[in-house]
Amino acid sequence: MLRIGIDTGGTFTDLVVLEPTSGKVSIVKVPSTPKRPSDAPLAAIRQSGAAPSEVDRIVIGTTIATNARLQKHGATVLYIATKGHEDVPLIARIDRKEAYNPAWLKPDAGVKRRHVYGIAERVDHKGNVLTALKPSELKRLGDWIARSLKAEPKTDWAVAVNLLYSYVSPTHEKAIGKYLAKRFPDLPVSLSHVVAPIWREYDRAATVITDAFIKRVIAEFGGRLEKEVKALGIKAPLALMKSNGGHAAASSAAEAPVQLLLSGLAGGVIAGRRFARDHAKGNGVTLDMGGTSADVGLIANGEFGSTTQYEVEWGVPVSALFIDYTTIGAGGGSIAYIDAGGLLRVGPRSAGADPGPACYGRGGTEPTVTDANVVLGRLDPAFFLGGEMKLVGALAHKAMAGLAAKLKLSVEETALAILNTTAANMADATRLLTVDRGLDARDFSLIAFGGAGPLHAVDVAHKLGMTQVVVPPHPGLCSALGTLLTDLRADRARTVIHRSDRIDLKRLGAELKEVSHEALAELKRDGLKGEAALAGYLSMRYLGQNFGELIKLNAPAMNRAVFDRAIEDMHVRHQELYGYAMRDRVIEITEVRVIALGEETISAQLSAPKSGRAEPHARRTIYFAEVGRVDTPIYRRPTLPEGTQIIGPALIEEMDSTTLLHPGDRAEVRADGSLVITIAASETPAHQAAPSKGRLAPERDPVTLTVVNNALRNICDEMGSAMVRTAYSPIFSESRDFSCLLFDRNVRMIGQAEMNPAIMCAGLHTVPHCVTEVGAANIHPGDVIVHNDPYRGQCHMPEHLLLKAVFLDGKLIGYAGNIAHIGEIGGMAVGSFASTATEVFQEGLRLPPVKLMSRGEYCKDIWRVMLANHRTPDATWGDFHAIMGSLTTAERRLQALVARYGVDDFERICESLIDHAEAWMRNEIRKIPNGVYSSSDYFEDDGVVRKNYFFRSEVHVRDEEIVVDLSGSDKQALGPINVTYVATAAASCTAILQSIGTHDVPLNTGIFRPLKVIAPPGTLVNPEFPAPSVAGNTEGQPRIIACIQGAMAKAMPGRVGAAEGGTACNLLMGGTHPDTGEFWTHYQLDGGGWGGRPDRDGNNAQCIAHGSTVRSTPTEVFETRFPLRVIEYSLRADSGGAGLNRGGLGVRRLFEVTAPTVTLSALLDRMDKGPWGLYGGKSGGAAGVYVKRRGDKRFLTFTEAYGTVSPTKFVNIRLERGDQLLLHAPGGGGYGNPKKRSDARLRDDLLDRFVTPAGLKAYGRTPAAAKRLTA
Amino acid sequence: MTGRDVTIELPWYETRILNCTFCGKMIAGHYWHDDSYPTDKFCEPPCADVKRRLARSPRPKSAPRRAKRG
Repeated sequence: MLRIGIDTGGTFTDLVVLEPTSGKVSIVKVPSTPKRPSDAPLAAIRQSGAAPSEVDRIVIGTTIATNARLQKHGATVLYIATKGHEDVPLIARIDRKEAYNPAWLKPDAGVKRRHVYGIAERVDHKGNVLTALKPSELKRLGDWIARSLKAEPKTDWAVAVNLLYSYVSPTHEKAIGKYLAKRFPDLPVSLSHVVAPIWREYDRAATVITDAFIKRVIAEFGGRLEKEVKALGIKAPLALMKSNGGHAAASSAAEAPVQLLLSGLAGGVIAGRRFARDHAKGNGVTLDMGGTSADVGLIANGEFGSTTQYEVEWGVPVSALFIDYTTIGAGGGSIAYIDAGGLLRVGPRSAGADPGPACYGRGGTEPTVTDANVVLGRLDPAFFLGGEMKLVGALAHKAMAGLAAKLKLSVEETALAILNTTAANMADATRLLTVDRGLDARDFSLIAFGGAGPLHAVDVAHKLGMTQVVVPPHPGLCSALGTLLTDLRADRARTVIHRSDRIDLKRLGAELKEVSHEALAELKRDGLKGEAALAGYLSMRYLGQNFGELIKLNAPAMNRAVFDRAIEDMHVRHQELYGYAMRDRVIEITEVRVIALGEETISAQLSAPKSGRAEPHARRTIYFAEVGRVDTPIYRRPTLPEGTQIIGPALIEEMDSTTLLHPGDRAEVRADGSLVITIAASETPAHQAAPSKGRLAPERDPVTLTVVNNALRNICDEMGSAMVRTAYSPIFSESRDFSCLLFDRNVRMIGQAEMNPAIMCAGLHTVPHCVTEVGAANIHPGDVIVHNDPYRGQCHMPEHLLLKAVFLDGKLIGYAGNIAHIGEIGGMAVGSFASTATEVFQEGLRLPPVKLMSRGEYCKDIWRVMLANHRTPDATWGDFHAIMGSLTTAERRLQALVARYGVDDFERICESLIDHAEAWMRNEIRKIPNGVYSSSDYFEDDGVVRKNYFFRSEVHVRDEEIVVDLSGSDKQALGPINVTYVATAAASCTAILQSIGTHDVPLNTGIFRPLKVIAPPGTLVNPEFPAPSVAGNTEGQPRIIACIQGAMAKAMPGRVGAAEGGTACNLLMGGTHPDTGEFWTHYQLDGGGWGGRPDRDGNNAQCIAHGSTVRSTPTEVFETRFPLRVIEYSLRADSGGAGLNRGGLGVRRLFEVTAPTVTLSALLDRMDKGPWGLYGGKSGGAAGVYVKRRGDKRFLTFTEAYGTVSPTKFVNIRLERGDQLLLHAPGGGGYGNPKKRSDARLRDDLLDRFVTPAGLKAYGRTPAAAKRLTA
Repeated sequence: MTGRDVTIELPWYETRILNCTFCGKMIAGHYWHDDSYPTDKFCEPPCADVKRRLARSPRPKSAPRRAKRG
């Protein structure tokens, strides 16, 4: 009998035919057929010559789902949601990918606003039905769908249904599914409780929309293939690879096609598992490197890992179980270039297959990884793809020479730099994958495959400290081979809520059993014969945290022993990952998951030739870093018999790949044909740095600079990841209101994640001040310093800096810092936004720099004082531990990084990076015309006195420096709108960088050196003690940014956009929770519209200018934790400022209080007038906060209802059950003359309800024109 | 530029903070005394340089050339 495995890639489709008993493998490679994806697999089957009657299985791994999603070739989705929440996919999370690039475009939601529908139904977080779903509502929905289908009968439609809390109670979704199946039997419908029964409505929305989008594509692909395969005479069932590493019958895979998103990649990891088990004791890192990208997977203890955290593109999550891997833009076609920051980069830009690398001779001129390999002699231009394609070496040299001139290196050194950078990028990705899971890459072997993997494997392995590389047979076809090695697999999960201190084992056991039955039922539908192996998991977290760890149960059925063991495993895992466990804390169980395997694994008997002689086929010179050009033997792999030993230097070529051995490396051919390479020890010349003559010092080596810069950035990203996963407060786990920073031992910033500009720029001043005040000599290993004093370099009172000095072998090497917004620190207002404070003392507990930990021990007195003065000490406890966990992560990584280079070399490298960044910034400033540019902006009031307060900026651009002089600003205010010096400096830096608008900013001290900010004490921009300043950071920073951007718009006309919303719409809530009796607080942020740009409309619903990673709290998380209901969360029509390019829309959020009382404070601005427009564009819609008390007929401002001085800044208003709170976030300003906006664009605005007929007036049209425009 | 770094001797219980005379930034531990501006306390030497440059150079006219594209 024969087994066929097929992998369809972007360029080629690979087929493997395996005869299981003899182990004979035959392979076929055909060009892929993207226009008709099923043609290539069929062509490959025909070409294989496999006798149809002998085929008893076909499994296909396909990128069709991913490609359809990325290239947007799928259905037009109609999105059905709970009424009031239908805009969730369009609002998304409000965060931004690029902190300093206001032109960044928000990712496509996958659905247009004209295609969303809100159905009248509502369930609460406990599953109680608040609004029943009536038959009349179903009919109304059906009529709306029918109208859409009738209006565009040729459109490929699909429906995605996502009701709030469908994971708790799917009844309403099932009713909708049943109704639609009956009324529209040919319409594909995806239901969220089937596709992704997890909480967080946006994540679920993005998943179910993706599922609906690709449903028909997958169904047609699978259906056509099944039919054609039968027509060939093959009776074997057709299966498709799933993203979780299993496979399923083509028909059932199409029921939830989102599980096929990584189908094309899973095969490689499955194959890698086999070779890791055979040659690496079950511990391998798989490296699948092709033309465009490299995929890195992890096999630990013989199994691959799984994750539910996946994004099809940034900001668009898909919640399903995926093989845990990471992809980086590092492939043979990756282009090498010098970025705007002046550093050498390789990828993610790719030359693709057309024109391809320069050496393809198809018109490509930029140097690529393949060109570098040709230049160094590592690829034979006459034997590429087994000789089927000829490469032109001269073109590779020419492309390389251009880059070499910029780098001032030789052509060979440039090529080496490219390959070293590529290897470093892959090593970094691998390191993140392993260390993030508490593992050490040095304990693993590298399993390398794909067309390009074996050529780079030894370089990558060496950078990771690995000693062994395994190159499977037919490495270019491993993904296809992997499809043959999969099991029938089903993953089922369900969100649950349990506490370890009140555990109901019977209920938990019943839930586990139900999910197990679902998984088994799915396997049976997929053709399971015999028994299945079941593995159960619980997602567990400490009470208060928001993300859990998946802990495997040691038995399939639940009992006390199994549960207690899971608890212990959770503590151990947490300690491994984050450096601490909290054994006295309650653990929450939030998900039950079952993986069911129908063991059908084939034991493919691969084998190398048994006899023959290993003779070089040819010889040529190859360039190696340390020894230059070396005469190197070339072998042809198919001729190498079992037991062959080859000592490098050597090249082992085959049709689909090439393996490189450096001098001293040793390769052995194993019985199954695998090459197992032992890497030469680091003492040998092979992998050492180049000899001293002509060797570049590390601080001048472009590769080293890029590698270290990336590593520093990665460390900060990891800190952030650890923080999000372990923090208690949603302000960190959901809203991400913190930033992670690294400083060298001279207290210069050397790294930061691109998180919140407000905090990043402030950290420049905060940390050095803190270290100077405490005294560097007084800081010891294991010390953690805490500090939130606005008069000592903090932004405002809630921002707390926690700082840890990092030592290596007793020597100080740097500092790790995390500045985080602690949501409750005492003071006069719940949530510690004392909007009417008149002194800093009213804002909360103020801590000058003091030790929180001393040599690893708690400074208990400080902790006791702090916890006694915060209203939610439990949250403080958890959040501070999360922050300290992030510092421990930084400490470990920084120690490892510095150990690699040595303390002194590392310092010089950092010096170089800082100088480099400074040079870059000065160069950017030189492009701005010299001059003095002025502008102003204002606060509407200070919460205490109802009058405007002005910021006035003079921006002096002088050659290569900028001085921002804010001396003309008003005197400091009585209320808390004052902006501390560091917040002012941060805002000024942010404004300049956003005006330049770059996304390649080297984030260290250097870029800030040419900027000077003047903010005299006693003014709004630098208040004198004891003035309050809590509002200054959050609301003052965006105002200063707008003020400076107004000036920069004069300096750089046509490059700066109109004003963004300018307020975070801060709502602070708190009280006693009626369900638990515990005190709670919450800090709620929301997104406003961004200003119209010179070339496009502004983004809808984004966080404020000085935030970037700040996200809004999902409704399902909010309502589960806090006693309010979110009745509506939508985009505000007409809130975008009219313009040639319209401002983005702000959001509208309506709450209802469900507790007896809730205490509310608020801090916003821009209620009198919205953000300014530019060049004739109109102001954006104003912000607003209103209340309708139970029994009232209309909404009032808080001034009208409660007599507050300010309608936007007040504290401690007591709302009661049934009261409603309405928030309007402002829209962005418009850009350009609105009368010039075309009819076509206005038509889209009307259809999508961004503009209403009444809103047409602002564009110089009448409301009556709406009918004509939308006809 | 001539001057010297001046250490601020403060008792441990002192809560007040100094500000840079020119830019307003808070100062901890030490300040730069510049001979050209004897009554000022600067946060760092480059701050005094900025003050010097702003004082020497005439205020440029606000008639910008078209900026080069980066």
